[in-house]
Amino acid sequence: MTGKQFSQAYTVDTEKTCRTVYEEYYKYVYTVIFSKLRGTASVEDIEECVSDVFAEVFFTLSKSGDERDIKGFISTVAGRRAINRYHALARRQLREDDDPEKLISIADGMNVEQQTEEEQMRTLLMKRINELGEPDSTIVTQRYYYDRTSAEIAKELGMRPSAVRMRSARALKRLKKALEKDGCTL
Amino acid sequence: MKRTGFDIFDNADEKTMEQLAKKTHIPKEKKEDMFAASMEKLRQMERAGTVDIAPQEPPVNAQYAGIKVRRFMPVVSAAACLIVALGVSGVMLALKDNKTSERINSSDLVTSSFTTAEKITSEDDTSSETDQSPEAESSRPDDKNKQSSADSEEKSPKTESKAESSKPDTEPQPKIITNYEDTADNDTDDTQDNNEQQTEPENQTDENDNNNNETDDKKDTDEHRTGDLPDESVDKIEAAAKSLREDLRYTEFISKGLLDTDNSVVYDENFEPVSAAAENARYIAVTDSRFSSTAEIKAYLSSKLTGSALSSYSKLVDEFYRDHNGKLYTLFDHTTEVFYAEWVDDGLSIYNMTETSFDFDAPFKARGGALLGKAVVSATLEGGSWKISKVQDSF
Repeated sequence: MTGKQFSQAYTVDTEKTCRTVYEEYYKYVYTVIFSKLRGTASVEDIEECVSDVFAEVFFTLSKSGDERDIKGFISTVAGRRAINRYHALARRQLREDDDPEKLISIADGMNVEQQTEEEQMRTLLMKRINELGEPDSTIVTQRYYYDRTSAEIAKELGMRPSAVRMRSARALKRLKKALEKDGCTL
Repeated sequence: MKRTGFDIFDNADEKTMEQLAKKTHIPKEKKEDMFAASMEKLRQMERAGTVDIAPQEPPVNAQYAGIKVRRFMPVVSAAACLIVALGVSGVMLALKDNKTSERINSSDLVTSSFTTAEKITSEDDTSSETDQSPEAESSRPDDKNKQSSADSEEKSPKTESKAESSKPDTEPQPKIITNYEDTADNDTDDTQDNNEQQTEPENQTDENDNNNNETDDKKDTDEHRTGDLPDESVDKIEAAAKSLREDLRYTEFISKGLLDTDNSVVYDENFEPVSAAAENARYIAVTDSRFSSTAEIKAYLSSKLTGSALSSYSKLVDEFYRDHNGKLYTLFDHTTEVFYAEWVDDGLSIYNMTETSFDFDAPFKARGGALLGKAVVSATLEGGSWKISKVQDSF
């Protein structure tokens, strides 16, 4: 969908148009914000930030005549809002002096060499997680990255918590083994 | 060897974000809440004509809050002064009415106010006398006793207030225990499914009372040993706890399909031999001579476990084992990589000890893995034997 298409549809049926975009991108936006605010913001802060992003996206696109796909715009707004939220939280907690490097790194990234190495490692880890297959890859990601409990994951996946627990431990072991072959430890 | 971790996904690139997003699951309610909040903010933006809507910085809110308080401050101050003035003049009038020249001290004032309150209470009792049921009547002597004791201790306000506070004995008790249980259930999410079938331990009240001050209780273990129970009982409990921890270890082991097996022949769903690499490879035969059926495993579990612990581990037996033609089989693909808790021996922490129950902490780790958590194991004396009644783990 382009900005222009959104704008036209928005005038016809605002709720439906917004819902369509939301359904397509909410996981992506949540992930972008979570990845930037993880460990800094509460779940409520992250959720509020997600709603801020979509409100801005809807409002701006409703007046847009842009012919480009909206995904890039959504990505930009999500990233910017997450960084702003991070800075706001840091100010609120009087943390500017604690770790100024982190603030800079979030905004500006790292040095090129380090960044390249991290990208390679990230790609490898994601590849090995995907190789676990479903539902294990989702369970591992939810459990160890999103810090969700076994019960929460179980509810989402329609499984029993004990089954999730068992699968996550087994999957983690397999993941470790696979990464060891690549010369990495988890 | 390079180290990596899941935090490498923090602040990741676009491609990783997209892949992670595919594995993101957000509860439906939260998803709808976020959408509703977005739409609400969108409406605010449309009204304001800009994306910069309500201020989010806390200091701004605090500033407004301050203004609100300051605005009402004169009114509050005036009201407070008025109350004080009325109080003083009331006391003066009372003194005049009594025509007393005696010097009144503060304790007399307190006593007289309690006496007045008592009179009102008595009147209330009398006025409701005709409506009272026999049960209520039978409880009346207590009230009279309280009144007489109150009268006799007229100059002791503290005692009087205790008598007052003890009056609603017949009212339902506060639901502190229930509230605590709810909290506990939330905290130990993974035990929720176990709790569905469990029967609460007999010493529930004690347990919950103790849990309300869990940290203190753990510190006070020695006091329990020396104060509540004789040394002999404590020694027995310590020995029982050690034994139960071993039982739990073995229970984990067998209930999750880790008995000795014959891996040379693999069976499918219909117990027909198939290749180990086949997609439908499902079962292998158990060769452990101690157990030849799921009933035998469950019988063993019954001798060591009770309550919710028994029901949850019995369910695992159903999950991991099958009976077929008088032989016992277990799941083929679970036997090598199944998760089970490896109980870490770093000393026993026993608490909430009574003659018939106790709790102990059991730290555990996944087999070969890092330390994962700590289980709180409850034990109950049943038929002269200590059994594990509940296992709450933090993983």
